[in-house]
Amino acid sequence: MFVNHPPESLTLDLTRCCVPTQSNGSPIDTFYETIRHTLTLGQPDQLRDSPTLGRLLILGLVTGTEAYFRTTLFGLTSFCPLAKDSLADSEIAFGAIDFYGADQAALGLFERVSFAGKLGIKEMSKKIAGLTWVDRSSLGVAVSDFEKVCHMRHAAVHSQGVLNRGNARALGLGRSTGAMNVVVDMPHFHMAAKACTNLVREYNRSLYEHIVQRWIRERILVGRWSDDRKFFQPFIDLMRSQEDGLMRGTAYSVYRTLQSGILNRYASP
Amino acid sequence: MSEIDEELLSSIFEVRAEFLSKKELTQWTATTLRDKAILSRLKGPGAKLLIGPRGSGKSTLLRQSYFEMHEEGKDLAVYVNYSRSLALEPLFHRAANALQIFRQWVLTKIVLGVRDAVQEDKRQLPNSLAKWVQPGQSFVHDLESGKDPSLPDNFLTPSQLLGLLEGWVESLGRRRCVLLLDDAAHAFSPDQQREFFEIFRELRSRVVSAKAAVYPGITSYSPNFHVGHEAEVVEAWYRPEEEDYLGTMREMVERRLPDSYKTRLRGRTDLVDYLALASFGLPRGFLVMLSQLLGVEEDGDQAPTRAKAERAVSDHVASVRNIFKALSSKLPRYKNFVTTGEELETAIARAVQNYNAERPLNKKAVTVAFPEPFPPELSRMLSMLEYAGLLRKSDAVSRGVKGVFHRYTVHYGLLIEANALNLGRSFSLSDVTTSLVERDSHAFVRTQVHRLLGSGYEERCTLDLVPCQNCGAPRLSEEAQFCMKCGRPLQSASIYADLLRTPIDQLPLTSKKLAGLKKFTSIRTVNDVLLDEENIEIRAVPGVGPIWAARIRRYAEEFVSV
Repeated sequence: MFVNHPPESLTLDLTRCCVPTQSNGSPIDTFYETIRHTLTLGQPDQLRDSPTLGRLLILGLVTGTEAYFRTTLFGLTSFCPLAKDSLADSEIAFGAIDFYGADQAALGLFERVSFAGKLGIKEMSKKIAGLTWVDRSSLGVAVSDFEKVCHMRHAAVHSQGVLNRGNARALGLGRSTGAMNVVVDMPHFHMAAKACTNLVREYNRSLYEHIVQRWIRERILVGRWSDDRKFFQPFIDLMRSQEDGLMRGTAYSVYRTLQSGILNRYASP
Repeated sequence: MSEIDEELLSSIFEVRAEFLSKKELTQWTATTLRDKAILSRLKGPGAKLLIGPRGSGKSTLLRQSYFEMHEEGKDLAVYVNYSRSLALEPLFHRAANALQIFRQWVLTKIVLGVRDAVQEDKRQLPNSLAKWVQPGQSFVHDLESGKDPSLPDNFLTPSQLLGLLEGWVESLGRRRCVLLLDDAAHAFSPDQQREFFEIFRELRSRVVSAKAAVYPGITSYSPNFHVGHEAEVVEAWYRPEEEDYLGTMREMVERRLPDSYKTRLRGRTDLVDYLALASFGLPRGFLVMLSQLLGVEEDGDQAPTRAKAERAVSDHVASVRNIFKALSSKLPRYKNFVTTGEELETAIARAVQNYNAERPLNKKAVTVAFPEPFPPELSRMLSMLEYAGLLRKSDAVSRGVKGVFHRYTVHYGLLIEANALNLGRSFSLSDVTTSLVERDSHAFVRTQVHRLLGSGYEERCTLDLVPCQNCGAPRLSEEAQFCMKCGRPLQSASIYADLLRTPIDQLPLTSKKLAGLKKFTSIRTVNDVLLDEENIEIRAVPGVGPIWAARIRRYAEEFVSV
């Protein structure tokens, strides 16, 4: 007598589920596209009828945000000399060079890194970009809010929405509330999406300002477009949001606005 | 008239209480027994909410408390004005830590208030206070002028401030600290409002108590803040039905007006009483109408007449209505409620008029009552009318099996202007006074909202949610932050920025003044008025002296404030 039905044979070939990656636009624009699509999947009545849907969509939001960090920080390693310097002694798996190729070997650095939380974001931002912040800054608050969403995602991924002690504490739940489940309605789904969007927007702006200032300070930019173009062009392509449309013109026209600041640096010791 | 006289008149008729000197406040303010009771509660222990619409005297009471406590020298009184809070609202659209910055602003303003209080006493600042002042001053200044300061390294928390206040009380040799927080409603930013009342809750101890001036109706509190339990409610505005009301208003005239104006009012107590009643217990409205009656900055040499008084009442009612109408700019989601609320106001006046037909002079009603339960749409509209001062909530009354009725007294000026007292075609001013003073206080007009607005009024009371700017899809609910169809963020414009861009037509100016501004100045928006800091452009308009200039400026400041 058995307690349940037996398993059946299965030929599991998932290779057809794997298609070449298509990436258009900057990481922030790709993020916007992902979030937009994810949001349209969460209609109020569907969320109300299916707690599973809400949890899966939270996962989608966090994944989209993680992808932004991965792509942006990886992107930086391909042209920022300071990032390359700071990673010079970092170790990656041998197989990563083989799989990603020499040009994209830096992807191996991200293999065991999770951006679904404050820790990974802080660590890699400091390591690759030298970017740090205080908790009460706009970026710090945005990261903290995202961290809360990540705790919901953690419960969704690992325990069908049931919160563990760490998740519950992070979400501000008291000790004696007993077992709690994540159930996401439309308002909270939108709040989570807003938290993710706030983080990406604030981080993108902060990173841009930080790198520009760093390049000027460390004399990576010399004030001649012919020399600076190799850094600045891919940098603008990486950071600028075409969708937001706030920074218009070519990379050169943006560079011109910074030129006097760059040249002033050379005027000072 | 000499310049000194003009400036003095400007102070008499226009300056808000928070800018009056101690001498002016003492000289010009008539303190009734009721005021003394309120002052005693404001100066005493325990958290208090001082409630009243614009111009009801909240700031006067807080400032009086402040000066009296300084005179007495036993307690440390700290006055703080938060009217600039809406200037911080754009921050909520561009910084994730806007709430933290707002919190810091609220707490730092209290520190600066302590500084002012200590300097008022001509004492040296304790070292522990001095170190907060300079960075705090820059932080507040930068924020209020629209800059984006980062949070200071010396980061205050409410419990930390509480500890500091207790320390300063001790080092200054005082018994207690009383925080007098003016313009604390933050009524147009729910985030700010919630945060403020969380802070207010925390600022209490055996030694420290806080009093906050808020508006009736639309002030909503944080989820943990229970009015009545967390703070005692104290009503600021005068009750025109009280016995000493007219006496108080006459005394205000006596104390405030220069002799030349008092002479012109001699023998015309009927006009003073008429305006006092029409002001519905709101001293500022009374002073504005008085200035119009006396032709200040207009045809000042002519005698005050009934016609002028009636015009003053009419203009005043229009300006109170404008406070209500301005809610559609300050709370754009409730635009439809404002429109339907205007219909409700007219219908209420008509209902009162019908009730008062055939009723003798001393049996008129000024109160309307709605039965429980309140539909949410009605509740919202009544709250907004209360905020503007067009209605005043009275006690609920039970009529046994007929149910419980919630009573609202209608603004007397509105009743006069709409002839809701139904005094017939030709009536004297004393008829008006008698009907308002000697009325039956138990009489009220029982009605229901669908009788006033018609059935289906609920369909007109919908939230005005801006559709998606990208695809035009309607916004599903107030809580949606993204479009359900295309997934793009739903834009929420900065209310403050929109208010600044508002044309001056929306300010409660007379048509003459509006035309003058458009003809003789380049001022077109509310922001243009505010930018004219010395009133140079405004004064270029013929007929606009210091009083009208100050008044126009006040209208603009109030339009962009809480």
